Amino acid sequence: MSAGGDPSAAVRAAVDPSVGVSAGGDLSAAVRAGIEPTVGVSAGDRGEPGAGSLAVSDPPARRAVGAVGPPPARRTLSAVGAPARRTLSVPARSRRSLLAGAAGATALALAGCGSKPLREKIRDGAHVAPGDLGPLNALLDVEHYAIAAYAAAIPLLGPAAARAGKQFLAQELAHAVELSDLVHRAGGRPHKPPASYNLGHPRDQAQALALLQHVEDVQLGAYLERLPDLSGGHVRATLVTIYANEAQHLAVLRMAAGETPTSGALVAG
Amino acid sequence: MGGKATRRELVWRAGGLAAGLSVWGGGEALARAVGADPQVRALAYALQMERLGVIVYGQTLATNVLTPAVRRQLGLLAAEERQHVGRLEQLLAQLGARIPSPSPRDVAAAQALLTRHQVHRSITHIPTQHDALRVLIDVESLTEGAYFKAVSVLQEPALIRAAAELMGSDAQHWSVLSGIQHHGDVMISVPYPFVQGSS
Repeated sequence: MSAGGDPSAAVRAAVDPSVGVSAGGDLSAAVRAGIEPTVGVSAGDRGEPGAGSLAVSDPPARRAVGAVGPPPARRTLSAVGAPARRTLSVPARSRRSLLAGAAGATALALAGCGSKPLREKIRDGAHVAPGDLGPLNALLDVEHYAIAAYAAAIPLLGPAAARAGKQFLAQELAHAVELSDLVHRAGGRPHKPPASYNLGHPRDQAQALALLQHVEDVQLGAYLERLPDLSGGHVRATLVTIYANEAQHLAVLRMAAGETPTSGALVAG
Repeated sequence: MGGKATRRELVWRAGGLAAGLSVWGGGEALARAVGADPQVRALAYALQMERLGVIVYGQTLATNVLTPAVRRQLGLLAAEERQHVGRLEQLLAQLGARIPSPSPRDVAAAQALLTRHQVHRSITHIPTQHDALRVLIDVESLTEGAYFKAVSVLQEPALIRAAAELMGSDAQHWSVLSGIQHHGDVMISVPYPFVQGSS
């Protein structure tokens, strides 16, 4: 992991052509396609937002899955042009329900909660400079990497960790949508995810959690490096809200792995 | 909508105005203490919130309502809060700013500061572990909010990174506390994809 390097380069460097996971298309589009307008949230009391009542209708799985192409009977996280190919089979139903659930949860996150005022602020007042395109797309690359990793790792997790994984996957999708919006506002085109990523060969929960911790570390390092490059205070503020969320992910993943939730008084990736 | 406001609405608005003026007044006092540099003001405000956190952690740890495991965890988080204070003092010193005298100075001042920020929970009477966790979650929200504001104001790359590192740590604290409070329910301990705290 390189906290100080070019995040997109870090991701590219991590790609091993022998083993990969099919990213399956534009997941941000899948999220947008899968947003269910009837999803709502009523926030709870101060500092305990989740205590409010949550009302979520099942997201339209067909639409979300359709956006990433018709799934085969069993989607395989398979080798891409590999001489020694290894495959990690994941039941199609898992992946479909993962994406559908993630889309619903993302819609929930985007529809209400604390994000709405921030998003409105960005839309209404913030100027996104063309010079921010590079950093924003680099961070989008890292988010795509995280989305692929969560999608691959969740089937290996036990019920409690899988619940967390699904929640975090939905949040990573929301980050990708937000970054794509910012790229559009800067007059650019958001990067698409590559065809495959090197995610190693996780076989059980411990290895899957180790992969996800690594991914979160990469993300934190990338955000920390890119934050000062951004020209506008509003854009920086938006990205630091994502950074803080990634830090929360890392704390929960550490606990799930039996470690202390924090590794120090500063979160540096 | 255009009709007369009810008495409840009038009272609510008056309360909000008073709270707003109170917080604004506190901000002015802070500005007088640390000067006009927006970077210094932003960091000094974060320092004030972190010092508040240290006092509130101290108050909760002084009670006998915590289970041993929770006490141990809060002790670790409190130690990190103290490190945050030290880091902010270091950053202010690097900016050549005068480090503001400790504020809030004591428990009473901390309670008053919480009230100014619409946190109406006692830190002198904490009857249950639930109450202890609630007030700590509120304080962590305030520190997150301080860094969220700071990041949009800060210009120096090193300061931006430092604020993000500190905010990330406080966001982790928030999730740990909320996780304890809600038996590890991640839907509540990490509820939103965008963390901006409160002010």
